[in-house]
Amino acid sequence: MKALHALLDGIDRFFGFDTAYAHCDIPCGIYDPHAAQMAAHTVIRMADLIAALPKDNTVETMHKLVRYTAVKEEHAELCKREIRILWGDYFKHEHLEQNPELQELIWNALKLGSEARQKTDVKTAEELLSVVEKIAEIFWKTKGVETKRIEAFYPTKREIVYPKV
Amino acid sequence: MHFPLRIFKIKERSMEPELHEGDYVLVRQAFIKLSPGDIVVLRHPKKEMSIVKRVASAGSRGYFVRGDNSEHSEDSRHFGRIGSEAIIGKVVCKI
Repeated sequence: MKALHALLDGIDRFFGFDTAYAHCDIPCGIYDPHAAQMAAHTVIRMADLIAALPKDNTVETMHKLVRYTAVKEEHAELCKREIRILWGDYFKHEHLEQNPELQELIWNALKLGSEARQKTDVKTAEELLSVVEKIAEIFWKTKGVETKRIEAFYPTKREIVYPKV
Repeated sequence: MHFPLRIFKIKERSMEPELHEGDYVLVRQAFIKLSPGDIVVLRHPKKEMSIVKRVASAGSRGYFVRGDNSEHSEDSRHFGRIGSEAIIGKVVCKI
């Protein structure tokens, strides 16, 4: 099948087959791993806040716990969604060939996103961010853009990956 | 008079994961009987272009077509059902 595809590519270059558009309703090509990183930072922040809660059973503490947990749930799921969009809509076969670790990273990010919802510990949230950062670096690599890791300007004080522009 | 078979090259991504940009599809233009689940090449009802979608339902009011990658697809959810005159052909295989 690969040989046939290559043959058709050759014919297409000279004669040009008609195009059938798998038409999108938004401009394709607008992808960015930043949203996934922000969501992962939010999960860490919520885990930090939960860990810092006083060990009492006051209504005030319970109320904060519920609010922090709700936000942690939401952003862990948001992180998974952003990763799924990058995986399903942006990354192509050649990206996977050039970065064979990508599939494992995506799988780990989705698993850790679920784990971060199930647990309250900071370690799981940090692992989620670590994997998401590696995916972000591969994303920018596929665009030929260098990256830098700096301390985020968030209360989490963990790293974040930015493109060098 | 159409050739019964025609090759199209796929562009854009609304039919992923079934069809990727750069794929070729062999399309049968004659003796077509469409059922839900079939992939079709059709004329866009509002633009001068051929598009590829999957038939979600077929009835007396025409065909409701959708992209598999539904978050990134312009299809019958936007332009409504399409008539059989808009159908160019049915995708019979991917290359």
